[in-house]
Amino acid sequence: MKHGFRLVRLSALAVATALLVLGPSAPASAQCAGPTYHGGLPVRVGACPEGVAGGASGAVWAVVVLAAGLWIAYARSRSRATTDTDLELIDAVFSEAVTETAGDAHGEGEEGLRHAWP
Amino acid sequence: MTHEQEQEQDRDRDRLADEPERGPRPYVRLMAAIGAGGLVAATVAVVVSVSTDPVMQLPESVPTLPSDFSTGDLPTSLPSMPELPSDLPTDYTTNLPTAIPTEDLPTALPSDLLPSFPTDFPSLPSLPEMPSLPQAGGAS
Amino acid sequence: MTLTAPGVFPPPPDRPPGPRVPRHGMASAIAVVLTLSVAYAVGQILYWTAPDIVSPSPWVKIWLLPEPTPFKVTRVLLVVGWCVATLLALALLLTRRRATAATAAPTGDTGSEQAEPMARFDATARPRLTLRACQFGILGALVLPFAVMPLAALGSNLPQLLLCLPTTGAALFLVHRAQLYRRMPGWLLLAGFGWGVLIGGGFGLVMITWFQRYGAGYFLDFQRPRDSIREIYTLFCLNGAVVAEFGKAAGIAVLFLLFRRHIDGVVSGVVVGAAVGLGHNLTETVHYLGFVNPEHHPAQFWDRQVVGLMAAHVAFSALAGAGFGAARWLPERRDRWVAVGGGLLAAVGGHFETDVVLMRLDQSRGEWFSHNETLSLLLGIPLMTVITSGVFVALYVLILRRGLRAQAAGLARALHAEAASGPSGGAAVTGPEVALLLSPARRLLLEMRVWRRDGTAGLRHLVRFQQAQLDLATQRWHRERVGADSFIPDEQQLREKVIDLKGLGGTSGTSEVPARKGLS
Repeated sequence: MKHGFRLVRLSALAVATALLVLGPSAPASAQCAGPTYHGGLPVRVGACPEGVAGGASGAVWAVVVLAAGLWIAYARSRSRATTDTDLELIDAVFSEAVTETAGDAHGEGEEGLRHAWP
Repeated sequence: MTHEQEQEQDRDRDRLADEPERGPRPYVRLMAAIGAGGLVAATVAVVVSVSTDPVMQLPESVPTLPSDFSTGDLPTSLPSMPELPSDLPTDYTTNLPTAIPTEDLPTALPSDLLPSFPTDFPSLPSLPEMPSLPQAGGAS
Repeated sequence: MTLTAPGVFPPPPDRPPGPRVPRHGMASAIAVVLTLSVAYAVGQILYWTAPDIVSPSPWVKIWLLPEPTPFKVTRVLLVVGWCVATLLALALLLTRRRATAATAAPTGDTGSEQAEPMARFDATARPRLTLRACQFGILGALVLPFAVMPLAALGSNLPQLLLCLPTTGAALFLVHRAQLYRRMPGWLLLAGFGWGVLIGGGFGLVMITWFQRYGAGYFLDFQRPRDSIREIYTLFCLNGAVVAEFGKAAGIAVLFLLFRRHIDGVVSGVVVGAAVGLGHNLTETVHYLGFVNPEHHPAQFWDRQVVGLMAAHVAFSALAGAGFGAARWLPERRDRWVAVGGGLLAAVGGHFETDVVLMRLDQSRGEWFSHNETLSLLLGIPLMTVITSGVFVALYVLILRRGLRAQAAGLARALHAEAASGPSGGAAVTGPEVALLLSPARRLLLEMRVWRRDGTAGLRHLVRFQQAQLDLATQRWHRERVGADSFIPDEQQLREKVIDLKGLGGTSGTSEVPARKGLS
């Protein structure tokens, strides 16, 4: 049943693509051309609205950066208590180890810095 | 529900969640299905590509051909061309453009052009070796 | 991380020994790289035997352009590389013969028995290094010549390269952090990215240049010009897809074969594949930007570095990478070939379909939006991208999600076991830390907090520590799987690493303790 449904969807997609593609093509010579991925010689690019493209690229990246920043700020404000607890936990983990080795020579702390993770 | 029972439930849920990777042959069927999808995509591409004309592929900026490669310089042993059909542009094979225009080239082969191509067109002798041009847009 | 983990690790006593996985990492990697050279040679032979192209028609004019200089340089360097590789292979054989002779040296009296292990160590250590150097030298000699064409493209378009670096860099960072739990080392990701930039792109460009030079000779049929032009362009796109995807997949294969300890599942496979794809996309973008007039650059940038950034190339090689990652846990050879082959087929088929269908759709894109150029660019290009490579993007995202969920479940079990395993285990991972380690969001917020308080050094230490803990747990999970192999590192070593990093206290420890004292 699931396979049948998937087959129907695939064939519908194939038919739609075929209809879209095999329709009459307009001889638009100055039309802006899309990207090609075959790495061959460059295709005619045509006249694209370059200002729009540049602005849109910048806008998309600005939106992405802004959204990431906002999400982080929201997450920080919402789970401040949890982060405080986590911070205390991590501090406890490290200080436990420090107090454990406090009995050993102090020099061990400095020596340990040299055993960096490869 | 006691704490231990909750933990047991969590562990059961975890066990079910990584079920796809716990089996003896994880992901084999999935990758086979994905490969089949790729095959379908390739078939679609072949069908589409063989049944429609390609988009005109010409470099955006081509250096002008050297001036000594003009129409008059074809080798003298070139046999005379048969009468070309009237709807072919007259400079189709003899006048190579000096600079490929970027704007007014057809993007598709005109459908009525090539079928009327004469079938007994004599084979041209090989072109004289073009002197090395700076590569179209390529880095050198 | 050790490149040469000696011998087979003894299996845990309560489990029968796992299936032996052949350790042919370096040999197989060299074989993969040799196929690239063989493919190049085939292209050269096809070119030499191709019939001459006699039509000056504009549609085949592009097949007659002379060889670009970087291509000529590549051809020369490849031959040089083959000679260097042969010499290094001979040196390798000699060194190996000398090493086996040294270890097989007869031991006479008992007095020298104690000195023998030391002598053997000395005798094999240096030859082992030379062995390694020769092996990597062979890999480099066979592979680096392909980097000439991308280097030429990148070098002569430096402003364009700089323009694309932020976007590609951000995407690479995203790919790196998509590994929510255990992450592979950064240098491995960068190696994949570098392969995509230089070798994947280079191999593709070289083979495409070959096809451009011999394709029309074989396939242009003056008797049926229209059909044969269609055939040539079909084969051109197919050739482009096959060589590009195989060039990228070769990189994934080499990294997988050499660093199986780190590429341990579909998640790492997808991530390595995505990195290779991002590199290839960068080279291709700069390559195209170099060809078109500078006034057309914004549109190309929009197409390739904004809309298509995580789509075309990344999707295809991510699927190929997923196949390799899945193959890690498949003991049967047939299963491994199915997994890898499925990924490769998807990559090639997707690339081919994207090329062909995108070009055809593009012709009618103007009509979709009543010839409104702005809408056609802003909506039409994304729509075309979705139609052509949307399925493949969805597939790799789904595989990634599935792999991450499996990792989370396996890690949960392993972390609980580690925390509960008595004093030695409890030292590496304490009970309260388990929930923190299993929650990527909490870890991210903690990292930012520590960054603000202790600076970059503190952040780095925290990240290293938690990654060591996650690595310990992940390898513990792996040890229990079907198909567990000898690339899983020793448990005790990993645990000691964690304890080392914890016991350091280091820069964050010394600054945290005074802070706590300050609070109390």
